[in-house]
Amino acid sequence: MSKEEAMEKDINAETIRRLAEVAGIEIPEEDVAGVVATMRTYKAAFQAVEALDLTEVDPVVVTDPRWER
Amino acid sequence: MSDNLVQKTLREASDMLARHETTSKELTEATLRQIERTEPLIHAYATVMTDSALAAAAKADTELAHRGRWRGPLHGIPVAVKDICYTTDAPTEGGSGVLKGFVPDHDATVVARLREAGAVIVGKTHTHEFAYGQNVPPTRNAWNPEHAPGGSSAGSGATVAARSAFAAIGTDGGGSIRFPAALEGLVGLKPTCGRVSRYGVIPMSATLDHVGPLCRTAEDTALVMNVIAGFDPLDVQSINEPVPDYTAGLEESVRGLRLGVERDYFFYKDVSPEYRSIVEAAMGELEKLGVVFVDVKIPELDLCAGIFLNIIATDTSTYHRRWLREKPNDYVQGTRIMLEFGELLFGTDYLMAQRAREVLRSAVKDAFQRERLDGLIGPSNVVTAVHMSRYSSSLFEGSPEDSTGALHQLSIANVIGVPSMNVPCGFSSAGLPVGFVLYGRPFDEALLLRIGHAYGKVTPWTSRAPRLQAAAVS
Repeated sequence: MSKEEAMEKDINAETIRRLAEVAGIEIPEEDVAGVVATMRTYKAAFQAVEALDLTEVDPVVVTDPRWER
Repeated sequence: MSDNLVQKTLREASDMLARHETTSKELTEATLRQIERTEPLIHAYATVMTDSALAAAAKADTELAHRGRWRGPLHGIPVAVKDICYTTDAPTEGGSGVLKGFVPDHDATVVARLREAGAVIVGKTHTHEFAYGQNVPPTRNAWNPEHAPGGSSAGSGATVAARSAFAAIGTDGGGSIRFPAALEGLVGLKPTCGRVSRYGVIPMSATLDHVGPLCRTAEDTALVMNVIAGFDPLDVQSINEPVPDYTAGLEESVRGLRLGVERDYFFYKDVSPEYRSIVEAAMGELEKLGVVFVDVKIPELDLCAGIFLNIIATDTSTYHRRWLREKPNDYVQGTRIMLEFGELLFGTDYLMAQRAREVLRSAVKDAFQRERLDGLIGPSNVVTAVHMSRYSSSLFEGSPEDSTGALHQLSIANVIGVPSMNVPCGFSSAGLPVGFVLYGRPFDEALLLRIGHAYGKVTPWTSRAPRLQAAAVS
């Protein structure tokens, strides 16, 4: 099975409806196909990030503890 | 005669004002007439602020004439502001039905600074819905109204190109200043993250959003930056770094400056042969000025799309969470789908993206240090402005000819926070503008402006006006 076929199998309308249920958001039927397509595009782009070992990398999240700046 | 005033650059108009060769009233009236002429074709404005603009112009003239008070080069100059920047005297709707009729009770910091500098705000410019790029505003390209203006700062680009404002403020979450600047033949600067306050600007992402100018020349851009740059305690992302005079180094030589060229990434297969050859010709001109090009390899640039898409979607959906539940039908469907999608992403993915962001930032920094680079250069887009019939403003879908190609070329600067600027560098055989993009070191906007200024002085591109304009003036 190609990557594209695997993604189509994994990310489909039913997946999106179940994710939405968990997330607590109602996605109208007319939007589901668009969200499926968007999710597939995103997952393809995010594969390069998932391939990294980021264990030792600190995230770009800055907390400034000063009360006055 | 007075209608020819709109053909002046911001610097030229400012000098005329300072020499009392014109007045802010004349400049503003000429600009408002130009808006009347060009709006039926390009639709740059969501709101034209005729009354408040004329009042501001009268005040500027009074200060100059009777009190001898000159606030600086923007004193009395008509400018436009993207309709996601708060203004107390005009609605701020962000191109959305969600905020229909919303009038804020305070100005955005960028608007307040423009007013304090004496600028005359002539209107609020069209944007894609909430700058998220999922609907097509009515704006059209000033060089050919059948073509797209780029986005999301669509109106800000179109109005400066059409000479219906001397400068405009845009915002850039993934290229939204530089993309329309490239399509409209303008200089468009996305400053360093934290350099220009985002307070009072409807957000997408706290760490990707930037506010900056679109102007006809690098010098005009420097003049606007001198007003809008600087620390703002009201913006959590604002950074308290000294602000230089951005005009001070414009005339310095660019000889010996080293620009990195990442050919695999920036000159990738989707860049059209014509766009590529025009940018390469521009690089030839820069080489004649003494700029040194260095081939570099930064394979981590390929991480950018995944990082960017995750962060922009998660952050934007978080901001819109309440409205999406309370009034989902007030969004256009494309935007709503993007917001729904963002709600389905996992927190672990978001932090993966933030970690990968550090990998990308380190890789670019290492390349700058290893090769002693002053900047990076590449094409700003992959093609010139597409015909409206083929235009898609989707961040995630569509072809590289529309937004996705520009995102590839431009969003790196948003992900790693460095300054980046479009420089107009020619026209296609169809008469549409082409631009190259520069990336600089953090807080080194002045260097990008110096390169843009040096290039602009030896080339004719920034002095050309759209035929739309020529027809309007004749």
